[in-house]
Amino acid sequence: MKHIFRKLCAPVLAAGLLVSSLTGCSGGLVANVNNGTINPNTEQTDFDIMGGMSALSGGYDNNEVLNALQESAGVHINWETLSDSLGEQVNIRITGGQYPDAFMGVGFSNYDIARYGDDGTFLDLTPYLTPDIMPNLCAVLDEHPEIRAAITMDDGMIYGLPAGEQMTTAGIGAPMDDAYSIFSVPQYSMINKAWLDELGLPVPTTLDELHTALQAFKDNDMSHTYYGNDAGSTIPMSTGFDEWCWGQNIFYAGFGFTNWPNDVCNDLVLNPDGTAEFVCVRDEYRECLDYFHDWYADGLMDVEMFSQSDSQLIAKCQQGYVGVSVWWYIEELMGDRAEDYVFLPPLTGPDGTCNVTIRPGSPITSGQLSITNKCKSPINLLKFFDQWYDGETVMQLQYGPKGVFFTGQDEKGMWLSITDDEARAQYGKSGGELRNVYEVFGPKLILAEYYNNVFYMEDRAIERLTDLDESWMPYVKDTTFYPVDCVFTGMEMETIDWHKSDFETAVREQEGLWLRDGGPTDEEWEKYKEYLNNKCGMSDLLKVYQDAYDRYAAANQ
Amino acid sequence: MKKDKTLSTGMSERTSDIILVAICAVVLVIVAYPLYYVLVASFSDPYDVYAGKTFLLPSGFTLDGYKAVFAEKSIVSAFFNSVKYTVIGTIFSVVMLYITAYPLAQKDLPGRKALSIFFLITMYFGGGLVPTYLVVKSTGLVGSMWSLFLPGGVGVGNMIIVRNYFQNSIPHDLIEASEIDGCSKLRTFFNVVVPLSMPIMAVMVVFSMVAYWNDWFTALIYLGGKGSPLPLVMRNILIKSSASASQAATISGGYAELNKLTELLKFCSMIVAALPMLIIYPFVQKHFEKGFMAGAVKG
Repeated sequence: MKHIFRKLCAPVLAAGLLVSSLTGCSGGLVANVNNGTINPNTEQTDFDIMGGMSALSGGYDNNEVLNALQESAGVHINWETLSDSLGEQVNIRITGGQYPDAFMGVGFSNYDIARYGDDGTFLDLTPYLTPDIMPNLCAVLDEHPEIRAAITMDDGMIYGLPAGEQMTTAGIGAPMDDAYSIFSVPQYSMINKAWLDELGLPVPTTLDELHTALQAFKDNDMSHTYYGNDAGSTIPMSTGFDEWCWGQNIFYAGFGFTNWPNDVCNDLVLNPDGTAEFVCVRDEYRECLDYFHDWYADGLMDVEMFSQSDSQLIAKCQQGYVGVSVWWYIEELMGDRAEDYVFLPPLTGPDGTCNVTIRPGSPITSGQLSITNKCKSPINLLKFFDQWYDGETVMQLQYGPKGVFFTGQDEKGMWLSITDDEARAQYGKSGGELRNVYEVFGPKLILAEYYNNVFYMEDRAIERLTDLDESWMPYVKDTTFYPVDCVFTGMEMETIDWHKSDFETAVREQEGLWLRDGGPTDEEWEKYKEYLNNKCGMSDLLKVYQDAYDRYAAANQ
Repeated sequence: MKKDKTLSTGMSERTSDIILVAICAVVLVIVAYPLYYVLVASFSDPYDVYAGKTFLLPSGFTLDGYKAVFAEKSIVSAFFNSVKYTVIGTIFSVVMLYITAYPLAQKDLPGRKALSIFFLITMYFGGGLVPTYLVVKSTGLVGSMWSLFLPGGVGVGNMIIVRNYFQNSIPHDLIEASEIDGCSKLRTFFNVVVPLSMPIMAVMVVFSMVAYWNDWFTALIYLGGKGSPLPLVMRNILIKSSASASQAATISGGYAELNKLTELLKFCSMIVAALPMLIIYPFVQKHFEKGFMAGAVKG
């Protein structure tokens, strides 16, 4: 039996491998059939579009904004919208050959776009980007060449319309060319000032002072003595581990870097001289983990930091167990005890260093609208989408119609949005939920200038940006960051696709182990670097990011 | 209860009884407490739960989670869909298991080894999601209830268990005897093998039933949003809630508050989804024992 099995298995295995390796590269082998020429057909006015929507949306059939846009473009669209498992469904439909005229709000990665563009599923839109067909978009692209660059593939093709939200400090009055994204510093650390006062300690300015404070929180069991919780419930410091807005990374500033999770590649930084580098192999990184291991070993950092969810962190903080934590808003995390807490600015490290590195904002992507080769009259469909590239229209697609979400204009002509109280009184929903009902997922390009001349940014975003500008940006010595809109070649995308997630996982795991068990010996450190290079393609990745940046820098000079 | 003689040497019956009961009680607590904890958590403030404040009684009693679950109108039809899929699927799967496992258990079946290997290969190699979908699509099953049963109708792992049971636990002499007495192959199967295999049938019913009851992914892929079973609807409720919480994180505020409902819903949906199974389980288990006894007496 064993014998027959082996005999049977070998060819099956071989065939399986062959097939998978064939399909692996077929994307690049198939010739592209539709690029460069315009399809002048304008007969089709009835289109099928498949796409994503918010889970709270009831679909787009009765969306008054979309219906008005369809009427003015003279087209009718049959929406097929999903809020869940969209990626799988879309892949299945494309592979099965049963796809619609266009995909909207799917969020294809650049890798997918290149693949479906190369095999001819997605149309190249470059010939259609003319003032006749798309006047609004062309005006935007003329004014913002960087947006055109971001959506152009390395072979010059454009397979999707641009989308992105440029929420920056320009919205709170910073000059346009010196504005920073709301995502520049994602973690705002905070400390319990009431506990500090009780203990007669100042708000720490260095990591060593924070260590003293945390030790005091622990020794005096502040959660028990100050808030009356169970004895021994004090957690001096609780955060997530490499998490988005509640990670520990802000505390690394004392060692000259902050390795934020980000959209390009974690731990990648761009130095001011234009060289890309991974911070996770710098000596400072090693020192840093060694330093914080002592905190962890002393019981100052939460033992659950590696495994807890944001809900668990919120739960602990709202009970008043936690002395130091990280979140975007104090009130959100600390609930009723919020007034006891103050922001804890980035702290100086043992050798006097303090530097926060900033991360890129959200990218301009072209994965939000792709027209497929099933579409007979791309011109008609693109005319419909051109209307989206207008401030007042995109505002309504993002938040909700005038008269519902936007209640009126002030003397400067800026649109005012509904307040939470009004929304609850009129619609029985919070402002956020109301927005969720009306929001349309798709190629929405919300430019930074719209916040100055079309509508006001949400209050919470203003609050966050103000905090960013006042409390955190002063600690940023250098505002260089790796541009999120770098364009990669097909080969480079293959490399990233192949190595990036292995690399990020390996670094993250090792970071956690060293934090928990103590910093690396020289031998372990060398072995780690070797492992990243040999098994996780670190040097290949670095080369890819460096090359892409060099091209980007050359093009933007 | 029949006492084990080795246990009672040097120990009174009473002592051994106490020890046995104690062991059973510990096992019961280990098994039942997590379930009870979820039940308690579904009535508690989730932040209290995560802060370790609930143990035996709910802390910060709330019915919000169940309110949110039953506010979804499609929950009733989803429940009946699930019942329908589970009943039909279980019957179908068990029948398929029997009619594949029994022939393979016969030593005189021609090509028995090749057939076994054929089945075995499907355990190690799957087509992958997309190719499988394409096959199902080209058979025209997409959107039909049968797409849930036909593609995975024979669970090969289960089939091997059933086959081994037929081979090892049903005495070959008994089958020979029935044939000598004039039973046809079919009659042997229905009147001798099926009644004797009740224990394994009960096990297979439980396995299939739980699998069909819990399955949401197949329905998500093949049904296209129509006739969704209970777990899929539960999942949508949860996704809606977490979407509105994450929206709050960026715009209107109150993430902590809305996120509470999402966390609460996780516990509530576990209870709502598990309860029917928990109710049915004891009834099937009764059969399990009965079949077991029947086999023992006749063997």
